[in-house]
Amino acid sequence: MNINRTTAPEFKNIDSFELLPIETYELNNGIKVHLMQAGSQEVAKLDFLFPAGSVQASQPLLASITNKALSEGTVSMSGAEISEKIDFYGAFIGQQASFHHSVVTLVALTHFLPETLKILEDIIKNPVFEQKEIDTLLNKRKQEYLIESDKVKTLATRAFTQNLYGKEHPYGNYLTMDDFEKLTREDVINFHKQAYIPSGTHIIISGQPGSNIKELLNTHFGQHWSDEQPLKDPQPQNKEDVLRNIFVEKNDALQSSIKIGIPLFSKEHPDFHGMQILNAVLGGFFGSRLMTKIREEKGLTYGISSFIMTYKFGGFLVIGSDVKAENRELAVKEIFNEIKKLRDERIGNEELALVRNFLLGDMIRNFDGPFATSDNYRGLIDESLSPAYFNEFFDVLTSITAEELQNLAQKYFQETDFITVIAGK
Amino acid sequence: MINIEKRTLSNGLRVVVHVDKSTPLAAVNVLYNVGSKNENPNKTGFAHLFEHLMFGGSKNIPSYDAPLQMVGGDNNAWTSCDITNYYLTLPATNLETGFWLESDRMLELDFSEQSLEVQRKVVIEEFKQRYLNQPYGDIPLLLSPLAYKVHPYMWPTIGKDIAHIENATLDDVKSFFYSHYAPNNAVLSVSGNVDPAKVFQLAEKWFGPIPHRQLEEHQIQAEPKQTEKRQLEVERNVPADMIHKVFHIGARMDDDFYAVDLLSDILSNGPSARMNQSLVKEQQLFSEVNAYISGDHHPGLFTVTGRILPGVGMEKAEKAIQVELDRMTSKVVNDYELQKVKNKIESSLVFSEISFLNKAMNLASFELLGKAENINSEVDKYQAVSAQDILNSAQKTFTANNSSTLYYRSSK
Repeated sequence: MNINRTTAPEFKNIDSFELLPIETYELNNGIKVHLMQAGSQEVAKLDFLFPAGSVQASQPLLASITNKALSEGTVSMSGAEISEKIDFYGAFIGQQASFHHSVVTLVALTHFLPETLKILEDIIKNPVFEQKEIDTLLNKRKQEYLIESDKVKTLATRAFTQNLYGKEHPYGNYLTMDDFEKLTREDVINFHKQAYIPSGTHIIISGQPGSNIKELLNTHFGQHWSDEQPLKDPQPQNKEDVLRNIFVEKNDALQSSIKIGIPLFSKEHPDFHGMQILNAVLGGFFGSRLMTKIREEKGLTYGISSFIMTYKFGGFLVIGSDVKAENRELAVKEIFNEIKKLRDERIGNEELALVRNFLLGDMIRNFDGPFATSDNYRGLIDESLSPAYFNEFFDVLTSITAEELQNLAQKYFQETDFITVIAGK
Repeated sequence: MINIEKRTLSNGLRVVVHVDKSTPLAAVNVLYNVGSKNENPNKTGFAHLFEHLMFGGSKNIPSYDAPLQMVGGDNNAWTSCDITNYYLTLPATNLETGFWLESDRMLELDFSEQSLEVQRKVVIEEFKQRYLNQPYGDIPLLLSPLAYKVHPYMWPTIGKDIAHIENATLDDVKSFFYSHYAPNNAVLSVSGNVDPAKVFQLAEKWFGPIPHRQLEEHQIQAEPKQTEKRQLEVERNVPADMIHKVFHIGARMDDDFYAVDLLSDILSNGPSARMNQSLVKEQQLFSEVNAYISGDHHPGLFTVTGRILPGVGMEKAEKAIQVELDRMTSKVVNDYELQKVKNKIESSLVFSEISFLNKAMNLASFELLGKAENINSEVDKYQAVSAQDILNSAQKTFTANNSSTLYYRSSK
């Protein structure tokens, strides 16, 4: 058989996007449940989002240590007993504090949900927060913090967010060794009492949780268990003294870490979807301009990328790369060249089609199945957005023009607005 | 139970298909039976450098990435000491694009000086970023040569020396390609929303014409039995002491693989595991501990490691680890504990079957090591392990003369 290997086979464009149906209802006490029922395995994942993020917490480490310490002992079970039982059922409990919520995740085989949810109820409502357990968590966290502080990448990232949001607001990611000494058991107990409450709490369920899941959840979490209302989550103050150039010295570093970025806005901004696409062109995927130029043509780095970070209040775009010290100036110059090109020249048809098609495929991948869908959906709740956000992005993605992208670049990619942070030698 | 259909083309390429209609996507995975263990000791890091070159364009297609991105696809690859694995996912309707791209680079690479020049630099930066410029990054570079004296597992996948990568020539690249990249040295697996008959037809069309190749006959010397306790001590500018102990174990396909794997689970899989409870929680000696096996195709390693809390000291930390290992070699685990680790394995296997891409990778790997269908008997093999099997494995593994210990001291 003679085949033509030089021409690509025919392909179909992705022309529709369907989000898995999301059923929403409330438990008897008003907790909001979001259910994505799908999948061929008898497995379910439940994310509990409490209004207990680092923004609600009044001091550093409070949200994350409270969240992690939940499973370290309750009035009826020791931490060892809890983990023993969860492991025996082959289940996993995940705990993570984000900015506006703290999350407790349960992943379990469907037929073990009754047993594991009962344990989860105890963890969430009746933790004892023994001093010893808090100390263990703080010691571990302190060591991780010190190890992270040895990485140029981390140093650059911290300098970048502190510069934008200051030392007071959690978005700034400012933490000192003193904070580890300041946190008391009293703080943890109080924060738990004020923030792990029915009001403002969401449960996201994905997979196949079984037909009786609503009853199960009402049994364990549907009663009235607290009168508290969610703590305030204040916006960061507008910072007057944002620096344009920052250098963080680390003499023993083999490579320098570069972060170049601009303050942007939250996902609600009308230009947000367009900026996501512009970001992809610049550095948002392997075929992006920065990756092509700085890695594939020049070999200056193992990796370079840009991404947009958003919060409930605000956001930023940042480009990041690690390069050897003597290539630093060159890399920075090339990055600004690529930014300038986006302002000065319209993106060609072929490139726009490629970015569009790649991002469409990426959307299908990001929403493939209930677990992937729920991961993306969870991010929306932290920023108080509705799922229509995804469909709007799809519409902008399929229709945006090269002219619109150039307008966005001219509006937001002004060289004087960029902040350059370098950590290293 | 994972459904499997398979066929071998006349050039020797094995094709495995798994249908999963729950996704609109498909995965194409090409596994080449070549890793860093197939490298010349003076040209290490080559299998991995080569993985980078596989994206630099092939005989008829100047760019690998762009045509795939154009149809909504994405891809990546990884190299281990045993294999090099390339994978892509795309909308199932555009499956043929994946066949076109993967077959062309199996047929022949575009051996270009420019691509080699750039990827040499990229890999050197990767070497620095991953192994030299971050705390604890050089541990693999120290441990492998301590545990292996003869077998090529003595160097890590990235290579033992940056100079080997700097000195790579285009001739080296060509000869590596023709002696290892061949349909008869690869497994193609496809999963997702596909029709097996159509997959076999596409495989025949795109991969069928690639010639069977003569592979390099290279006898890999087995590692002789270790007969003395080994130790290495280094001091680095890191915030905390760390200890790594490694022990020689069997190969992935050995009968006792499952017992040894469960042995590592009893020690550290999950928060209730022995080392986590005793060393981190009760005695508060470590901030983190871990025990795991390598699962290599040739006899591999059992690793026990921990990051030590300030003020504890290396000696006390090592003793505490030893107590846990001695417990494993002196007393059989009870039924409850054994059942617990088996339950955990079973649910992990169910969770791993959610991803169609995972299934494609696992199927290729099982097919290479024996037959793809073995994936469906994993649970039974774990279930069949007895407490006595675990005791036997522990006694065989945890002896002083089978150990290599790295003391990674903090100079701060």
